[in-house]
Amino acid sequence: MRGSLRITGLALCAAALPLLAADSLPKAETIMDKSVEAMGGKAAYEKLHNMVITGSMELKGMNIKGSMTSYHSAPDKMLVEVEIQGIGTIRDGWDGKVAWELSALQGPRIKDGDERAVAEREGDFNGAVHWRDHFKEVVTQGIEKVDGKDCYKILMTPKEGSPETQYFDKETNLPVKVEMTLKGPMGEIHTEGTLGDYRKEGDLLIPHKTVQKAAGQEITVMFDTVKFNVDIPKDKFDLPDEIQALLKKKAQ
Amino acid sequence: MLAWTCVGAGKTTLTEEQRRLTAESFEYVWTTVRDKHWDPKLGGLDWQKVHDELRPALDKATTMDEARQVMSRMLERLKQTHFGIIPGDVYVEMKGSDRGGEKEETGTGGPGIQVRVIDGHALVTDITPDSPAAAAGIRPGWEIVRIDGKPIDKPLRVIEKEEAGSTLLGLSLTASVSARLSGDIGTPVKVEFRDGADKRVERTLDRVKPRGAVAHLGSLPPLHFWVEERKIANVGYLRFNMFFEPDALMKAVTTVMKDCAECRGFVVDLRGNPGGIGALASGLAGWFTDRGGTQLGTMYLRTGPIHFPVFARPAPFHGPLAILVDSCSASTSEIFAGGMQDLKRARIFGTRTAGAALPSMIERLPDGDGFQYAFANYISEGGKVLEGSGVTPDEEVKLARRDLLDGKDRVLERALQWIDAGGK
Repeated sequence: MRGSLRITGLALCAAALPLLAADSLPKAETIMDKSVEAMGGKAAYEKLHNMVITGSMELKGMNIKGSMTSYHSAPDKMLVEVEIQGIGTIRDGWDGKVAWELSALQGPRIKDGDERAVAEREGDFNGAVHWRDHFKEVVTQGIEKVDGKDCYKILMTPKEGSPETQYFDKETNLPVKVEMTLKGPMGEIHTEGTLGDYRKEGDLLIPHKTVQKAAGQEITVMFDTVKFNVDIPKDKFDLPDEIQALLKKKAQ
Repeated sequence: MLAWTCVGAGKTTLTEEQRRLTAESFEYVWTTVRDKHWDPKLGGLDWQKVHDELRPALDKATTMDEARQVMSRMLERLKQTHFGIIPGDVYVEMKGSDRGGEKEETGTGGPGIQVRVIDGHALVTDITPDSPAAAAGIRPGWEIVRIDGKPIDKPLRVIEKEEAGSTLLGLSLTASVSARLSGDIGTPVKVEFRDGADKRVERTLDRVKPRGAVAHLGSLPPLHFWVEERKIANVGYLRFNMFFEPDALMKAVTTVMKDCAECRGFVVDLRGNPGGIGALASGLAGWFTDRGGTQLGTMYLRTGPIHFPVFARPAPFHGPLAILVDSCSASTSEIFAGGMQDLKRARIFGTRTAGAALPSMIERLPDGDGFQYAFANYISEGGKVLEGSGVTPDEEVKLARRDLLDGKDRVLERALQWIDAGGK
């Protein structure tokens, strides 16, 4: 689930400082900057200080459905709440310092390594605009087809965590696919997410459909509403008691 | 590793449309195994040959039952657990129907008798409180001799012969008796017992809805879930019938843990627990270990390995932990018990588990049936392949008829003795 959400919202066009690409290909930095413009532009992003998304999700073939609400607030707060039928609630958060998960299945845990790095990038509100803060290198690797369309393939190496590959539609400059091998407690898991159904929300273009494939399973997330600059309760991003207890224990 | 019983007829002649859908389902099942089984070579099985051999039989099938049997035969060639066809009828089970203003449950039920086949005898091991069996005075230790007039020893002997040497024998024997006791809710079942005084007694018992609340998860048929948490002489005790309903299960664990900070030990009773959601094994393990970064085991998919990590709770229980298992503990139960045994965090009491520990999922087929298939092999943290071997208890303790008649649970008693001795 995390993987599918990480490619949603404002965080989806985070990228990195480019090095030289092949002569015939545009520099990755240029593609990334064009992507920000295609999504609405720096000025549009900077008018925003928070965002709330509601949507639904489904695990393909298994008929497992759920609802999701994600909260994002400047400068660096994020909370994703997923309610899955027959499973319960799974909450993922980043409060600017701590990446955590509280799951009905597996209980509370604090994320580190790749998972923390991804949460930090996702949690950076308007990370699309200041993507250079998060990546130390981006390289255009070539042009590949995604859903029949030519896309620039960019390898992005973050300052923290494992590299990821993003694909940008050559025509629209919109990001349409993200690949990454995430190292976490479950091992190294390759994830592949596609983004589509871009719609205008305010001054921004937001993908309303993401399909995430990982470990032989496929999750589709559909956005129903995207709202900007709304009232979010002040304590919404506070660490849950269980997470605070884990931190306290860790500090001992 | 959940047992499905056919509750519907499925005997009516297939329409042209149904024929098309069963053919589509056959191909879907065959293709899924070909593409998703963790072993691309299927252990040397010529899968194309299986297809070509059985497809004509599918085309000749005239009823859903026949079509289902052909697909089941195809999956049986794999000789592995967690592959099966679930009759579409079970999906409409337990749909509430309003009669006279009262919500009535339909579907499959039973008289409230739990059974194990011990030394060839089908013994009552537990009675569901407030069930027809309880009301009729049936007691643990009674032997079931006939069900609806038919002796049960014959089918048991057949199963014993067919599954001799298999870890699944106990589970198959129990399932065979349980299936005969089960039937449509509201219908009676006539059972002949050998009681505690060795007298033959016959009781006609109503079948009622199973114990617990109805649980729904994705393409699984509706299931009944219950959990029981209590303290026995300052020892925490947790028992639940399946690894489902995470909220309810974890709430129960939280409750008993809050009350058990000073407990001398803890017992997790997984006897008869067929498994469920695999990740719940990890979730439960986190209540009993402080060791971060550990795992219960690893499942091997075609795409690579995935661990079952354990995330320690803020205040886990540190005292002696006993896990009770038997031949009907399967799948997620085995993942939990085997992993905790390998981590040397628990002592296992009882009898060897079912050896049915393949991670699986269930999808709906075009013809409406469910299709369960394993997508990974599973190896416990200690390197054991649980499929086909099961979890071997640290202390084997068998149930005996005399003990059951005397109201004794020797497995639990032995676990409590171990805890009394400080877990040594």
